[in-house]
Amino acid sequence: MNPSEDYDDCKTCFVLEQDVSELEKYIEDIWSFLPIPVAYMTPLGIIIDINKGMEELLRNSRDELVGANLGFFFKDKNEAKMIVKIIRHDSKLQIFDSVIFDSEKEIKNVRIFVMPRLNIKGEIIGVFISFIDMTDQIIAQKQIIIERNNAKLYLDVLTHDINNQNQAIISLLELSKDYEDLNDVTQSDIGIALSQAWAISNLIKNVKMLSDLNQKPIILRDIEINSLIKYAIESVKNSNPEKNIKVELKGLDHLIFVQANDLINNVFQNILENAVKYSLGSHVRIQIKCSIAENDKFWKIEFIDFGKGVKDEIKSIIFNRLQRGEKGIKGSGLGLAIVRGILTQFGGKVLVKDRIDGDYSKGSNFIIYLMRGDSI
Amino acid sequence: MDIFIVDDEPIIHVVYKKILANNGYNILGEAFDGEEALQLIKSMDKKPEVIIMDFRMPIMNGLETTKELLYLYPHLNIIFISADVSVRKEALALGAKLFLEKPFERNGFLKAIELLQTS
Repeated sequence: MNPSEDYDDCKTCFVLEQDVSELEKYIEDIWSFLPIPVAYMTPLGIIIDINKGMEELLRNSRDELVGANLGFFFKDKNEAKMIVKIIRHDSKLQIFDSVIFDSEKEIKNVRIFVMPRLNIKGEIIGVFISFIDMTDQIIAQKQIIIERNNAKLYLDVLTHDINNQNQAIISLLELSKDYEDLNDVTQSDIGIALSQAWAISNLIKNVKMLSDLNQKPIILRDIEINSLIKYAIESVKNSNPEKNIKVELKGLDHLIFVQANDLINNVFQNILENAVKYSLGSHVRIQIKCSIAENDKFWKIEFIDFGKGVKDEIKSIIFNRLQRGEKGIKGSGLGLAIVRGILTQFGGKVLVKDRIDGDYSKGSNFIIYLMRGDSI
Repeated sequence: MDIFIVDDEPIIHVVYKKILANNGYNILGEAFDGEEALQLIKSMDKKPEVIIMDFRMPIMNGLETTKELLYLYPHLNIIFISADVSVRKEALALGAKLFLEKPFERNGFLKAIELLQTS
């Protein structure tokens, strides 16, 4: 080896040392910069080093924590021993939820990430451990559950009690109508009071249904809708005796099965009630058309009315809760929200178009899509 | 026809009694909770032909009362009338003959009673 080769080797060594030193500095910077609390410990749980995040979480300085047993901070000491055991047998990343104390004995709910560090032979030479403080999140989740249960309870009590009291009002008004010596004005007033009492009950029923929609597990089955549509038509005719309602059916001459449950009745009734409510005059004309759509996977059912129509700016929000189509039209504004809520649960959808494209004032076409059933 | 009313709301008793009396039915007795109903019906020599049963009541609810009553007297006709539609299936499974949702229309209520009379 000549002197110049020696010099080159030393130069290489110097560069390597410089690189290692740079790398160490780089890792140290990352380590202290990491916003999440991280500690490095021996396989037995003795802390070798911690970053700033861990200092803040445990509210103790690095000098005091290095050399301590991490198990000391666990509320359940056996849990710390168990984690160490698991690490010895499985060198993959492990995630646990646990409870720890900080140095001021304040309890924290944490999610723990534990990752062993292996040497070339695959032996565990150290363990990285990180705590994510979940305390606020857990408190918030518990609060959400409590508030949700409270809301459910209030609604339940309200639904039950209002309907009970409404029963008395409705029955007593019905009985009052029997008196023969009532004049026409009083008879009419009793009729109005009765319909208002029923409106209160329907409102309560709708609010309850909307609230229940996302809380109960949905089981779908094949449901034949021809008879349900006919039932809904009769029901809407009965509830609007002052209107002359004519419904034309197309594409309903064979049995149609969809994936749904009993809530489907509410979809048909609400859409038909809506068509009647927004119709002009006492004559109401509605067309119902059924056809296959969306690659044969869905039934498309169109409810076409000849009423006031839906302005373009309202089309996108008409299915939102409490959105009313027009001022002065009675109703809670929940009907179409219920339609959308139910159809979404069925994997279907609802949209509204103009009966005649580009001219909303000629009436609307409420189109619903329902998944086809397997029954023939 | 002899009818027994079980409901915790006094105003509902007034309503039932008015409707039923106007239509020629006899109110054999009334109770404001399930336990009172059980005791009264047990003590009656002549049992009611129809029992109108509410669900939410103090001490013993309508489902428990229905179960007890039908265990003792399987031939009783119980018509469940409640604002709680969630108990419809359970009430019918226990043996109630009919379920009516509150609020009901008078005609629907009377038809239900007639139906039990003819069955």
